Amino acid sequence: MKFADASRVKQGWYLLARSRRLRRHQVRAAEVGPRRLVLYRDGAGRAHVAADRCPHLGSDLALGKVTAEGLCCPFHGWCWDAEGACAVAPGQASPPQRRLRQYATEERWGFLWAWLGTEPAFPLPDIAAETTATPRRFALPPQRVKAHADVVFANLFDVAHFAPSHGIELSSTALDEDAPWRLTHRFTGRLPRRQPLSAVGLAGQDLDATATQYGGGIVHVRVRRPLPYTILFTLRPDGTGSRAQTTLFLERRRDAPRAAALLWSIAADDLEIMETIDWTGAYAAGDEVLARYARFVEALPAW
Amino acid sequence: MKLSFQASQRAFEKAPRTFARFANAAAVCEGWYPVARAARLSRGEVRRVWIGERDLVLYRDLAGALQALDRRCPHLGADLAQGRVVEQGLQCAFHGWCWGPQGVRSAGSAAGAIGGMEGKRRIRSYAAREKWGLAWIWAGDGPPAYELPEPQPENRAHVLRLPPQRLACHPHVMLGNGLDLSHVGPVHRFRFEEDPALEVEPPHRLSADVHARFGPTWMRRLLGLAGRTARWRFTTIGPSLAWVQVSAPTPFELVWAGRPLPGGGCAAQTLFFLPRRRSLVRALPMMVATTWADRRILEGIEFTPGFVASDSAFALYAELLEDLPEWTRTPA
Repeated sequence: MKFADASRVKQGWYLLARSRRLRRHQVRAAEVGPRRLVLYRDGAGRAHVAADRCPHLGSDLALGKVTAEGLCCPFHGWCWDAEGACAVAPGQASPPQRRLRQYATEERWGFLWAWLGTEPAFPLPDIAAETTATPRRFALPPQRVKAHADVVFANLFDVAHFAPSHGIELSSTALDEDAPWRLTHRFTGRLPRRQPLSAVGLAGQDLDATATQYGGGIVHVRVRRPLPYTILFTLRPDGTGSRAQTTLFLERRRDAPRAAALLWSIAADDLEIMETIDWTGAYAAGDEVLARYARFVEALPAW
Repeated sequence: MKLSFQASQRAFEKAPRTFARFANAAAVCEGWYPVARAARLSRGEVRRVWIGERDLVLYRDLAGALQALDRRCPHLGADLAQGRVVEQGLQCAFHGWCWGPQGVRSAGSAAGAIGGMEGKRRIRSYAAREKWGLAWIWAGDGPPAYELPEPQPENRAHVLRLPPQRLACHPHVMLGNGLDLSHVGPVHRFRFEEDPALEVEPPHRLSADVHARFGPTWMRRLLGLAGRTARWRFTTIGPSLAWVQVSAPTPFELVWAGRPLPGGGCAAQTLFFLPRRRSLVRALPMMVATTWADRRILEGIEFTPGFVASDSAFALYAELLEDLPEWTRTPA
């Protein structure tokens, strides 16, 4: 089963680090599922993501140095430029025709992103622009979830669990797929009368939200009611689980308590279920949306 | 065959190749492997030892000589490491069958008298040596194809063994490092005074004669080595040994031995051969200052044989090892 398979990393944009955690001339490694990448920032301030093995003899480039020529291997001093070509190879008449795999990168919202796969099939979605012209961005502390991204993201497509798990009575759900990269789920309903929603005055209010998954690593939820804001969820596979980063985009700073309460009331309910589930995929009547979500993630091209 | 480093680079064949034995943890080439400290094994003691994924028993017989056998008793496969050393050899703990040094079942064992099968079954035995405080086993069928190196008599006045070390890379990668002449400049800051000379003596030996000048690192300034010239001959012997004969700035010799470990990686032994005890004051920092930078790289390497022309000496070593016989599971 390809669903929740930790050894199969799906193509897409992945958040690899906080931008400020990668200084100029710094080199560090990042693990993605069973694989490892090297992140570095050149002297001009541009961040790069590349394979972590020197194409010469396989030494670890995370031990390398960043120079004007690019990323230099500590072993034989071969330097790899931003296009992945060998720019300098001491002792060679001409640099060898080897290539270091470089990945497309993007720096946005204070994070470093890379497209894990061949050529990016779509640009990094401009989520903030859908909110307001100048959204307030709140990045939650990074978290580690002991569950696969498929299981966590499936939550937003599992219509049958909204009532028993979260107390949300759904009134409508609609799917829109742009195969193979994007799946959108719009759902409306009514929020329950319970804490912490009552404390911020959201109990019993209408809910109208759209969850969209782009590739393997990003889901964003555009909430229209009870208050307009956007939640950006990113997950990166990491051995037995995922590294999670959640970012809120708000129109007004004072929306923060209500936005956080709504997010918390939904996320906290079933984290434990997600961390302990052994996914069987035995979908029943009423799980049509979830089954379609499973088909979508299984059809996502692998890195 | 003698050739210069530059000539070997011109002769380098660009065709990429894969290796079945070189740097492959699953294949062990026939050779001498250090398996234990000899002093740790007293008379009558039995020890289980590993070479790559395979295990053997090493024991010291009652006469004081080291003997090595397969670990499984040919009777029912019991673990001979639990056996007992007796006059005739090693006695299996299960049925008391007794295995002599040549792998022959010897008379006098308890069950031997009952079965009357002396000499019918054999166990594989291996040549074992005790040298420089280490126990060595010849992993291979038949007698050893070569002996351990003999440093110059004047350098053998003092033999010093460093504590054993573990490295995450394969021993071939560690030992081949000394023939990786193109990294001597960028990593170790040596400048060649003349083109290194290579000497290939198939099937076991490959040497590089190097005359180079120490680059000015802070450590070498501190040791008074910066700007001085060094001469050494680095010889690899078989799949597990490297012998370095240094003639300048101070004469001494080094033997490095690497044994593959189960699950990958290597157990490395370093032996110094010094003419005078105080030579160590120069020799040890020289060795450490030269190999320190390698350690970090070799610990992190996931070796791929992507050789280019400037790796010609390293590639010759890989070719030589590839042609060595493999230590087979079943005797030929």
